[in-house]
Amino acid sequence: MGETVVGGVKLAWQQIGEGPDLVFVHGLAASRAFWFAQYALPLSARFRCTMYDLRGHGYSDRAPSGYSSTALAAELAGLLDALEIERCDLVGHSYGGGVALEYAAAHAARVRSLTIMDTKVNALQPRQMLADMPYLSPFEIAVAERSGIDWSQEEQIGLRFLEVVARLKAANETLPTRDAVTPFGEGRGAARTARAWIDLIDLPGVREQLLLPGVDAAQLAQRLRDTPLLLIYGERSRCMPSCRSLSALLPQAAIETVPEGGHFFPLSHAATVRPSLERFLDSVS
Amino acid sequence: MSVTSDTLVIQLSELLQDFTQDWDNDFDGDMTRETRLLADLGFESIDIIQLVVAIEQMVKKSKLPFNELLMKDGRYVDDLSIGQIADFLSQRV
Repeated sequence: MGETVVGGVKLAWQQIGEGPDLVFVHGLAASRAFWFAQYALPLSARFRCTMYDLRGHGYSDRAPSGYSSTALAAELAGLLDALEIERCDLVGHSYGGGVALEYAAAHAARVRSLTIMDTKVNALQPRQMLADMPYLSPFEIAVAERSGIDWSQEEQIGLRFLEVVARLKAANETLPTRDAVTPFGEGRGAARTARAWIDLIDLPGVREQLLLPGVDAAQLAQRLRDTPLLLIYGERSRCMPSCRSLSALLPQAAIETVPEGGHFFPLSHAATVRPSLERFLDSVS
Repeated sequence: MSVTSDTLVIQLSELLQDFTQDWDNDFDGDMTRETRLLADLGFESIDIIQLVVAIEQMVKKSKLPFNELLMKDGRYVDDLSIGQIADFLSQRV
């Protein structure tokens, strides 16, 4: 475990295990703990697993800007340089998958394989609507009823939902129901993370940065054509349009759909997702 | 209960006072063997990972098998008391 300053921002990271390098990138409003228990620990018997907190998350510093997937990919490159990780298998969930994708597009030779879990790729899916997946979980229904928002018109439904839940949590409102995994769902303590998330997205320009497209479709197809790629998406995910676009651009991609999986399936369905990841890593090693 | 464990409760309480001082966690009163990280102090999973490092520095020993303490059936335990951590450490430090 350590702290490394990259681009003037202190990043918290940790490594466990020995073997080929396997690097994990978490999504928005999460932290490296997302990966620790159900992925890094079990895989540490075979890999050197590296996890870190994105800027503005966990124990890394919050910076006023630099939250686009492209900027965060540059940050990842700086961290991997500092840790002397020349080449790795790379795994990202949600926005972390976007960061991983941008990193791979910029440094294809340094990526042995790439696994994307339920990422909305801004360049391929600029809007994310309720209609992309009309199914609502009991928790989403409860939040929707409280919010007074017309969700059918919302063009960035995932990001907006995260914000609404964070504001409810920060106000110490109790929500009547939970899914297997819900954002800021870790009991009373998660109010701290919810407040940190609100503070982050209320910074001028950060929301806009989170929606910036990275490299375009043609560049993705060209730069990643030789990269072994695993796409894992939830059956109930609103990121599925990104999965379809990525698989069309990159025909080498292996695709797995998690039955009844929502956006947080890496945690809720770890018992099946981790073996899928392991099989893929075995196939490319 | 070993003296070592009771001593560790005192040391852990001091460490946790420092660790949580900026958290606005509504916890007032003294930390005891029964104080729980999540329910009382407002810990989250990321804080537990970070605390492990602080504990290793406190006891000047690294690579303690914290997994045995933190994990059950591949998931984080629901909560941990200061006493549970002290007992764990007293058997290994």
